[in-house]
Amino acid sequence: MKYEAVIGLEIHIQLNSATKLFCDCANTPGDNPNTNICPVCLWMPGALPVLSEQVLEKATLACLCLNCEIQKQSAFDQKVYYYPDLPKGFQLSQIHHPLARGGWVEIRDEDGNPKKLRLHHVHMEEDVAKLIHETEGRIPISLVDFNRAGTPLMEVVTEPELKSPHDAMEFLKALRNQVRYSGCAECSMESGSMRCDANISIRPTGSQELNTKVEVKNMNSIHHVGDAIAFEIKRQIDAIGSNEPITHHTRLWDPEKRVTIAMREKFEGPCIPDPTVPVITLTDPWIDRMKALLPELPDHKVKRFIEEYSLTRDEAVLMGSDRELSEFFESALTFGVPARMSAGWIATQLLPALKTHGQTLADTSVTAERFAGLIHLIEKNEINSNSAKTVLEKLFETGGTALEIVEQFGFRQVSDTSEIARIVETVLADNASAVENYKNGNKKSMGFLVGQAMKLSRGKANPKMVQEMVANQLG
Amino acid sequence: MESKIFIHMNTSEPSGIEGPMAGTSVAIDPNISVENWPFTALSTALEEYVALEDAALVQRLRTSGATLRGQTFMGELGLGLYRDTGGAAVSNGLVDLVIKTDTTGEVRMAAANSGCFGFKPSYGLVSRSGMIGLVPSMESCGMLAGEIKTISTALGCIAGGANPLDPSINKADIKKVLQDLEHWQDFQTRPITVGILGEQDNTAVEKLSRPGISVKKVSIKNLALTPMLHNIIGSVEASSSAGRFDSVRYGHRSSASTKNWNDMYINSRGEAFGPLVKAYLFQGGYFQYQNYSAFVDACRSRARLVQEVDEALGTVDLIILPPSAKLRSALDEPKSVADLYEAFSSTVLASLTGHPAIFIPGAPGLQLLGKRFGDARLLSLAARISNILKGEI
Repeated sequence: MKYEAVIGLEIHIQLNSATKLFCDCANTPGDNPNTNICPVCLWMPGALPVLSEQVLEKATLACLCLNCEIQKQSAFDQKVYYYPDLPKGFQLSQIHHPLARGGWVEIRDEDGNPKKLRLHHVHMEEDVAKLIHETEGRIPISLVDFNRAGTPLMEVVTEPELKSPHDAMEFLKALRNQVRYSGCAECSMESGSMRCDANISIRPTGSQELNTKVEVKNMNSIHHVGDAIAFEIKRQIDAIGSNEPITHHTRLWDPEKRVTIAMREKFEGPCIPDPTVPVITLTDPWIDRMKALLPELPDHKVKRFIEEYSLTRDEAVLMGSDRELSEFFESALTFGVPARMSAGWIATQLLPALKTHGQTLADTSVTAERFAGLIHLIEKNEINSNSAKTVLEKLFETGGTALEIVEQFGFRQVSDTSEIARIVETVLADNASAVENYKNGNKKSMGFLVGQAMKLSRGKANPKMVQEMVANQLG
Repeated sequence: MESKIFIHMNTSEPSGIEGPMAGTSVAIDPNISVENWPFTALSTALEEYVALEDAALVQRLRTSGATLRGQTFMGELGLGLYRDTGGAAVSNGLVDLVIKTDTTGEVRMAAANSGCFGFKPSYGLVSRSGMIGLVPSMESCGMLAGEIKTISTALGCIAGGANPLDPSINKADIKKVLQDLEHWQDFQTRPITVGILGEQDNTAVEKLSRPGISVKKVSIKNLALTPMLHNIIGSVEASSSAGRFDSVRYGHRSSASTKNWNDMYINSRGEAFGPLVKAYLFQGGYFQYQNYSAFVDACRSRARLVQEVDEALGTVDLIILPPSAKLRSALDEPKSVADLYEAFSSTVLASLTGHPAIFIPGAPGLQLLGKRFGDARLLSLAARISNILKGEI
């Protein structure tokens, strides 16, 4: 029998608000342990939670970026469970009345066709404390760091309508891009600011039933999510093949062994309405104000880049999927440089160079203006692309404009016919055997001669002119 | 005698701050935080725990010039009146005012047993920030005093949050209460209608039949359900609220050797809670894990009950609630949760619905229920009715 997979994802995203969800402590969990704490986020008796307005705004913006319907009324519930990372015995989460319902994210399916994946809802919740288990030493101890306790999360829950690892990975990329656009979260699976659990079940292809699902956790990259889902689908099909029952439980992805491992029975604790945090009531004008704060979203921006700048779809996606990059790109264009050439240089030269230098677009000294200066010189044939790469490197190292660097280091392209003619003549005279080879039918010798001419000009000759002149001379 | 009534006495000098409460001595339940005072809510689960800061309402008491005398005994975590000494502190003249948590009717029943006034404000009028309890959706900071004026003056001082610490407090509602307090005299003379709930064979009610006061019957269909609704919702919230008492960072920790943290929790909690709280938490656990639909139904019935009470109050200025049949037993140690609810059956209504209520002492006394955030009017009318009962007007 043929089987198909039914996949639903639950994604936790750390919001980048200044404070925690219910108190004024800094939302920087990575600080020295137990430095960002107060009676509220230590969950001490008598302390009352007070909802942060900034968190509410950030969560709302992020939901709007995902095309969700913001709920006029939402509320927190107490999700009861007892564990040392949650010493008040319940987590505040919006189980019954989430902040937003519906919504969708558009991806491309395996054949490149657009496909909408629907969201069930998005809600806010508080994170729990972090346990650090020190197993070295004679007596193993567990330490609790409350810096993370009470920091704000939003949880995105999809409809169970993803079909494949491809869907899941594309969904996560699109989700990450869209939420990052809102400026409300970093969304890095590698650093843990975005965490994804997958619920996976299988059924005979074409069937409509929803079978027992298995939850898979512990994937810390988008690729791991794809790998874990692929493994789990195969594991379940094999299990059915050998008549093993599939039970509702949680499995952990082991990235070393590349398998999922059974962890525990799925536990659902009780969940009661929280009586301490008031019901959140949002008015239309407030929601409209949030909508007005929305940036142009990647989908729309990609379409616009194609129409406005005649980029190919791939180029537009590359320039448009990251907000910072897209803003750098458009900012460079304001200095009058051609769009496709800029996009190409950003993608193939600037981004790798930033990586090498350990910089980002936000903190690099290669501003859009300085970068545009470089493109300008390339466009006007003032420098050739070889020199341009060196100039780009110099832009990182020194403070001048591209033009100043070209003047200072003598990178200007030689396009003077007589000078190039002199160089070509010298090369042909010095390499008589290569000229002979060419005339005897070895066409590759032409490339060698052009290379020698470029070398003689120390890379500054206009390669197109050298090429033409060598070809002419060889007849 | 003081050592039997106070569990902690303030030894610091009075602040000398001039304010509306200057000269008023106040005792506080030990579940309301006063910086550096014991903060145990009289539970072993909070043994030796000391408050880190002043509760919002305590800050307000201080700036109003009140003298904080100390802490009186209370039922464990605010549940019931067993061992409670709040009423005795007032009736023995040790303090002018006791600030006391009202969860099932503790303030009103303490008043009924000690011959003083006991007032439970509208839910949300006085900040709950800095209060340890079990049932967050019902607990209110109530007041016990020999004079209504003491209560109304204090209410004027403590109403409202330690802005913005408690957004559950609606500022417009608070403003209304404070404005009403300034029109105290209006309610002493204008004609009023008093609602009588159920069949009441009460001589006090008869005394009210006089010019300027009309009396009419009102009914609340689901009144008989109130102890059960309070029990289900209260125990569920309590089970969740008391989850934090894990013996790790404060409170009693069992000395029994255990294999893991879970055993440590269980042993410590088993040793820490008294029998009433323990039985209550078991019930809450039952409804949470085994019979959640009963809890959902109870929440729905509670919402309907609020509507019913609002409707009944729509045609009258206040409602006189039926008296308690088990007045005295409220002070005894309850043998079961059912005992507790039997003793407090006449007071749980206001706790469930969040309406203000006051007990007026007398032979017998009366419990009055007012409109939400009609607290100042209720206090003024209670003073008027009390004067009638005493034959003073």
